[in-house]
Amino acid sequence: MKRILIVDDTLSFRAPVASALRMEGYQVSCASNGVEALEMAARTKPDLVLLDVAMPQMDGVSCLEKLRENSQLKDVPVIMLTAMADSDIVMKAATKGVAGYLLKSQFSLTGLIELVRKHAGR
Amino acid sequence: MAEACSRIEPGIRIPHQPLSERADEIFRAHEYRIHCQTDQLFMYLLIVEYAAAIVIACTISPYAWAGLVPTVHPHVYAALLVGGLVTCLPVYVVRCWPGAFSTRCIIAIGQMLMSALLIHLSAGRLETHFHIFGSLAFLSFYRDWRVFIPATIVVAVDHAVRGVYFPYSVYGVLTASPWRSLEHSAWVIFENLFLMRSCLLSVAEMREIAEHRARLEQSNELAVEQVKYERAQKKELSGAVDALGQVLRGIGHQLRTPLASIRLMSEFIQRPEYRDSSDADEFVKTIHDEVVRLSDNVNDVLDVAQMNSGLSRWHWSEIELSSVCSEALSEANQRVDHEKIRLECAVEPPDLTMKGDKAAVKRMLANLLSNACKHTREGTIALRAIAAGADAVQIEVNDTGEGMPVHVGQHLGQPFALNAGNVGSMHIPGKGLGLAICKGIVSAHGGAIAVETAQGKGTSIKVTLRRDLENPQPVDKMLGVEYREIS
Repeated sequence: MKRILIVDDTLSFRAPVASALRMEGYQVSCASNGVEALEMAARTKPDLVLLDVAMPQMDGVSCLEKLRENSQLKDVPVIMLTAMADSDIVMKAATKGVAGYLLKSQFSLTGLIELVRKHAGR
Repeated sequence: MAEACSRIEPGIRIPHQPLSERADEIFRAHEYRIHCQTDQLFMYLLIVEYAAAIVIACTISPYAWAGLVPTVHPHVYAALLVGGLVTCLPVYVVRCWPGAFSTRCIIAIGQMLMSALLIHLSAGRLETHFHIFGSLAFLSFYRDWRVFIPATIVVAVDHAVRGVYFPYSVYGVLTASPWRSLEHSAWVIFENLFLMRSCLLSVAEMREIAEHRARLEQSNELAVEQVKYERAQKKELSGAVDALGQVLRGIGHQLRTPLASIRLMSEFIQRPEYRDSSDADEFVKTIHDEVVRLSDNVNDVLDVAQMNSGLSRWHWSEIELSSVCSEALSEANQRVDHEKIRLECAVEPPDLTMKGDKAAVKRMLANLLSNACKHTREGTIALRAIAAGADAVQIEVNDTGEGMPVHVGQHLGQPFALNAGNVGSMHIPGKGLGLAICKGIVSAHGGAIAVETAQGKGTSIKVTLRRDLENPQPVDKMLGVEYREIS
């Protein structure tokens, strides 16, 4: 079973994504900030990470940098999620190698599931 | 001047000094400089002439006055004594009162007396009389026609007296007609008329130059003010654009996040294969909560916008502060962990009242207490309202929380500035509208708001409100939140 890590500080966003992915047969774990995400990723070795940008304690871009520094996690595909269309963040994330970049308000659950299938497989 | 002012943008500082006054100032300064320079010129000229008089007394006078055998003649002593007197006084006044009118008059008299001495020493040689005309020309350097009057009087009196009693001294002849003195004086007056006219024309030209320069200075000053004004406008505009951008980003974030959640949850519920899952029921409830949160966010944004534009509606009445404080505190009571945090409330005197909008004051207190609850893990949160003189109340919210970071303190009260670009360790929980709303409420109650914070020790927010206002105050856009970090 493929493992997905969802990292977002908003519970009301995290919960439907997690439930939908579980219904699709994925093993889902959740974290509410970058620090928790790194611990969780080291423990669960996810096949895909859905990573929010603006979070307390450690933001998404810093978390991405740490993931890329970790030899065991450096190749994990990461899809960045954010509420803000900030070109600086896109550029910064792009240099660290991300599989995708999605605006929270512009994607549907169906679209997200398809994207997850594409990068993590079934 | 009036025409120039009518073209000036409002807000530009108009030079305070009238044009004519500045022109006069420039003219006087120029005139004074010329007078001082000419004073110096005559001082050195008189010293040189004094030396020349001694040389003439030693070389020419013995032959001119006593024949072919040179001896030390009394003229040498006369040159030393009279020349010395004629030179010393002008030199003295030049050193003591340079530029003064009296100094110019004394110099004019001294110069004419020096001419008389030189004429005497040369035994009335006609050529030496040219010294008078040369001196008058030099006096015109002052560009002051009045100096010719004492000079002319000295020449006329000298010629008249010596022409009658000592003609050999002035004309080199033993007898001379009184008409000869008159003729010499007439030639002096003749030259003076032209020199005086020249002085008057020079002065008129100087005035014109001064006015022109004053106009240039004023134009420059206005241009500088215009540039300063435009820069300030540009800076203000740029600040307003940045603030607007920040507000729009803040609004975007506050609306998009719950909307995205609602969208995902509603999609989840609509999918037939998910509909029967246990999560679906939970999402229906969460959608409701998110809609409420969204609605609150929209209301907060609109409230801030209305307060900033002065369109808020206030309901003014007499407020009992003990009642408002306990209502606000009861809301905070539900948020804190009572095992770790103690909530305190004190109103002194207990029957303290003020005039204002009760709901707004309660909202302000609720916001301040909510902030304190968010940032205090353990200790005390104390709300205190006291009378501050006869016409004000001071409300304090003191907590023993984590304190306020400097990057937050610098932008307190600006909508959405709380987390503008701050993520990760710099991220502070909250929308960033609470203090902006408080600021609007404080402004309407004619008050001020100040924050004192100590990192790791706590924060103290002091709000002072007028208690005697019959109506809300107009919006004060300059009102800021005073921030002070204490150790």
